[in-house]
Amino acid sequence: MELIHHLMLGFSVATHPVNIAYCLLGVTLGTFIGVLPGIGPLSGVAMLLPVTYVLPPTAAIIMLAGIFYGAQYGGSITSILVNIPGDASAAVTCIDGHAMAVRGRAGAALSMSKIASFAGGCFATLMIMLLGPVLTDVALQFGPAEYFSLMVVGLVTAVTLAHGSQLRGLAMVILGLMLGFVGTDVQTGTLRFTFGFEKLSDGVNLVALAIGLFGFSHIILNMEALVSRKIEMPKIIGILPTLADLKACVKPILRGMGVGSLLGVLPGGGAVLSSFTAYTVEKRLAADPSRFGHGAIEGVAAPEAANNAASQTSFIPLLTLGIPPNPVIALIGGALTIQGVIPGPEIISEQPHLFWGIVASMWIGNLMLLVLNLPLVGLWIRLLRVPRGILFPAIILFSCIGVYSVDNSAFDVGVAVFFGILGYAFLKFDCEPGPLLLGFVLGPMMEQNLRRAMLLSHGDPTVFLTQPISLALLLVAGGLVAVMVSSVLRNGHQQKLESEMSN
Amino acid sequence: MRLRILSVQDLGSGLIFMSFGAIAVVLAPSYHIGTALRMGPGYFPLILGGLMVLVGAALILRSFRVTDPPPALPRLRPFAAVIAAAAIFALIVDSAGVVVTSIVTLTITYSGVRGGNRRELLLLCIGMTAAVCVVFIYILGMPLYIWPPLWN
Amino acid sequence: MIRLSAILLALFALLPVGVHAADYPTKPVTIIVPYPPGGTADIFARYIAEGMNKAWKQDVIVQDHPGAGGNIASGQVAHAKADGYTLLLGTSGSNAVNPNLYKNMPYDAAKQMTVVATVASTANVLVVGPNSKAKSVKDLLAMARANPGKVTYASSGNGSVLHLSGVMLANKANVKMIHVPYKGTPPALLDVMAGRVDMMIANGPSVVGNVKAGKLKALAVTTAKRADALPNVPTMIQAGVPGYDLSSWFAIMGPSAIPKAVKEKINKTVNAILALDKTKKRFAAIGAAPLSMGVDQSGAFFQSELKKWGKLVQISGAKVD
Repeated sequence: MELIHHLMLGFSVATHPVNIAYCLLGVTLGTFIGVLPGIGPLSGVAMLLPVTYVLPPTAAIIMLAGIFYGAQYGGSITSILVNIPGDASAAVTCIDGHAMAVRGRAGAALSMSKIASFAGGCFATLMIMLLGPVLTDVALQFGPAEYFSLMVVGLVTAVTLAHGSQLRGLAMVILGLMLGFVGTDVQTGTLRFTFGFEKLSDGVNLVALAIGLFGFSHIILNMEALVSRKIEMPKIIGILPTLADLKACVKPILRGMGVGSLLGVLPGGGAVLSSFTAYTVEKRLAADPSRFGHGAIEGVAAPEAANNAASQTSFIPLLTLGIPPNPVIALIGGALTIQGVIPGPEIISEQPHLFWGIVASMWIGNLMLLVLNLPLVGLWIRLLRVPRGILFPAIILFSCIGVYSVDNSAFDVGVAVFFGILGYAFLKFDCEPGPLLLGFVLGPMMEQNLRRAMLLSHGDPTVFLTQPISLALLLVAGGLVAVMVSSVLRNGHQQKLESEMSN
Repeated sequence: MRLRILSVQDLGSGLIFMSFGAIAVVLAPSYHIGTALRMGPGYFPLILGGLMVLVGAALILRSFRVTDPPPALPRLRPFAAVIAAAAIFALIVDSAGVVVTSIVTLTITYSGVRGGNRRELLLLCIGMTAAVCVVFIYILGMPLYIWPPLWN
Repeated sequence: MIRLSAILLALFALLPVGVHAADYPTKPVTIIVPYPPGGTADIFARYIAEGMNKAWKQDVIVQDHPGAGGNIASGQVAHAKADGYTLLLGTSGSNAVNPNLYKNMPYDAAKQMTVVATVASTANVLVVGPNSKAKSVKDLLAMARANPGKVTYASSGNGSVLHLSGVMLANKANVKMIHVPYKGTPPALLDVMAGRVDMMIANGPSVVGNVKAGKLKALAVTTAKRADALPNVPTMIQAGVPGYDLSSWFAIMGPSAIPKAVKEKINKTVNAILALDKTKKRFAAIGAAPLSMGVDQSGAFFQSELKKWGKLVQISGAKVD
């Protein structure tokens, strides 16, 4: 009953003309920012932050929130159409999304990604409303040991991201882990693998890595195909997903929403980790995993639902504890502080119109985004018809600016060039970038939490097994490894049997 | 015994992985390694670097045993065009301003595409540079100089 | 002949400087912030920029260039033209601690940079989880003495101001505690709330809300005077740690070579902004207090801060190399 009262308050705030206007502005800008390669919600919110200083606090946060989750809608567009992630959280959508585009199903992929994003966003809003405090408690239950074990599970599934050679996939994961070491060691302050570059003391920039590895390399490959006239314009089959598509995506979207909502609340989790995790979960559970990587629509739906859910639930720790779980939310928290609204536990009780206004505006914003984006799918597909000579230079230029914009750093563009070269080599050698990116995201967190857990337990390694959540996660990881090993052995045995029988 | 390379993919990737692994193994000891219970900053890099070297070696060995269809031959022009364009962007953007940098980047990338005529390039440069200025500087407010700052 | 032309040349060289100072600023001024947008430093920069804009009728642009703990932005400003048009929103962490912490700095802090006008100081707060057995600093220290090497304190990073604040506590109270560094304050606060880490000396703005709501207990503030935002929390000195007075400060900084007259102008304007009632209120809301000093005083303050934090870094043994 109280909930209805809160919601009514929220909607009365959110439907105020000023707030509706800024919600629309926010989600539109967000989509737009998501489309631009390299510029993601972090850069977008950072650049537009000053604009909000003259707005009332509610309108300001509604707009900034709109930019954040709006960017998750737009990020998949370039991923699907040209294999360049609009933002690191959309990188995993490149895998099956672009494969679908190559087969002429760009329309279905784009539409499904919007539908999935909408579903994820709505589910997350529901979570915020109903389970805000519960999810906050979950976040508090996760200490270093639990994080480490969670990362182990993530890592074990990372190898499944690869649809080619498993050995090369494993190597890519390890390389990703190692690239995560570059920078300042949190525990001791030691600079590792920075080779004297000052900017590297903060680590390799995720966006530079993603754009170089996924984007630049693929553009080069596409240009090569152009030169040898091998590229074919795929006939575009339909704009909307078929009924079969929709049916196939129901469970993936549900799972993606769940994964995203949970991981969004955890510090260090967020949209990137959620999208990758949702993808690997789908691939693990699929009846025919070999479809993934070749245009499985579930591989688009699940991550898209996940990253939207994560981007919204990550508001929970800010609004209930004043603790931002990721840098974008930290920015938004800063914007609130500048306005004189200090994020913290009292926000819900002292500023109910702010809290419920945001919640209500998330419903409205997601609806706006669906209405805005779905009809535009036809327009986006036309992008594929733009002469490659115009498209590729434009993409390269926009990507460079996008990477630059993250930290106003030309060095980062250089990093993207390095990974472009490396990524190109990997493409030629049939090594997939997905596992590397996941390893890169998971690695530092795994190592930090392992060492921190050991520090807090005063050198006692059994802490990973005595904490219940950690134990449960490690058992899941162990189970997954057992399944993977047994399937490899079974395949090997089967091949041996088949070769013996054919002799 | 004559060894034939059956898989360029395994050989090439194996070499890359081994190199990265070797760098890690060589540098790791200089970042204090520590023990299993009190891991130093060099601990994981050493282990993973070692693992990487092993996996790389395994791939190299496998390249002589297992066949993979050979990849498409790389061509110099597209690779050079994209890499040079982005690299030059990184080098000049802070000192040359957005307009100059955009034109240079667009032109270099364009030279990697087959065919192409001057008119298309001109339209591309004018249109894209204008778009970049509008989108990034006016709408998003990025702190970039439009014209080379030395001129001020 | 040569002497005369030398004198004339010198006069001509001086002239623009003199003219400059009188009309400063004649073009937009840039304040560079060494931290990401939305952070405390960014907040102060934008507030001061707004005030400067009103006073000078010139654009004052704030740019955020995070990275390398603030060294990238600081290095950029240190090497910029010393005409007062490129300034830095310096902080105790990025500009007084780092030069002592980092083996390789992109600039020489003591020689190349100076504080032109201080802006604010924020107190740091010693917090423990709501279920902690310690009800006061004395309790905490007693726990630490009874279990040497078992009590843990969190910080936002190795060599950060918060880390060094903890070092100072351990040093002054003669106890041995274990330092647990995190990447930034938010994850550290979560572990303190959950009781996994025993305590943290965190910066005021980040904990005020949670202290008021009871999710964290504040045992002391690190400054010599009580914080306006937390009037019931004793200072470290009052809580039984004599000689403990540390705060984080924020200041407008620039290359030391900026002409004195330009420095005076900037300093005057900033102090005028700080004297406003509105400023005090805005700063208090985020747990900060305005900090006003003259030009010479600011310069001396910076040099003494460099030394003070240098000593703490030495005691802590922290380094970045």
